[in-house]
Amino acid sequence: MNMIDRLIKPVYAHCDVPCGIYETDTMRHAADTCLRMIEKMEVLEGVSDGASDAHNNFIRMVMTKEKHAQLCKDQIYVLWSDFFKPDHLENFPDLHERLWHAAKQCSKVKQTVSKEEAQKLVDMVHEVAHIFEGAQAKA
Amino acid sequence: MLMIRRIVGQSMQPALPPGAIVLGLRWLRPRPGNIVVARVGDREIIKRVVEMGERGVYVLGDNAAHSTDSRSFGWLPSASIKSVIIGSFIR
Repeated sequence: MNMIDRLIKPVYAHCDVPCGIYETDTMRHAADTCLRMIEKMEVLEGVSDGASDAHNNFIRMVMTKEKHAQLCKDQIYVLWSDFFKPDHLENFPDLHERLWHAAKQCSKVKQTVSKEEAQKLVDMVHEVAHIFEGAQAKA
Repeated sequence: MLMIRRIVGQSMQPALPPGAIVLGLRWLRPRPGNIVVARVGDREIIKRVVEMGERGVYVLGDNAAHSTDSRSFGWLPSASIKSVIIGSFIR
């Protein structure tokens, strides 16, 4: 969370009064976007030559990665705090650990330009989505 | 008095995506169409005013599929409206 986010109080626009509508598409799309931005950064030409357009595009890609990593983290937090209930732990005893690591991986993706780290996030998010689908099926 | 808040959640998309910063004025009287910050329980929520009447204020999220609003919790007391949004900064 950056300085602005820490300083400004949140106002909630999600289903904080439980509505029962949850999904993982947004989270998966956000993680995929982070990976795609890194792939594009790696093949972007002209940055080291000082080309303005290349710098501009590089910064846009970093901003997009940052934004989507945060979106991914927000989505994980929503599932963690609002969707998953104590009885889900019976079927998924490592639930807390997986969600915690996935949220931390979002920060890792922000901090790095690493395809490996972004791919790890994609994989972790898919695992969370798999648990989510399993929990929904048992509901 | 000014109120600055940061959007968490998707119920006000596309007008206010997650992470957007909003600026509210506490003393403005809300009107239908305004986006307002309201206190529900121990949290502040942000929704759009659809109707006002004797029963209070009826609010909805712009992104209906991902919103808990007056369809679920009914009319809000007028006193629960804390500010009317007058501007936003989308990051």
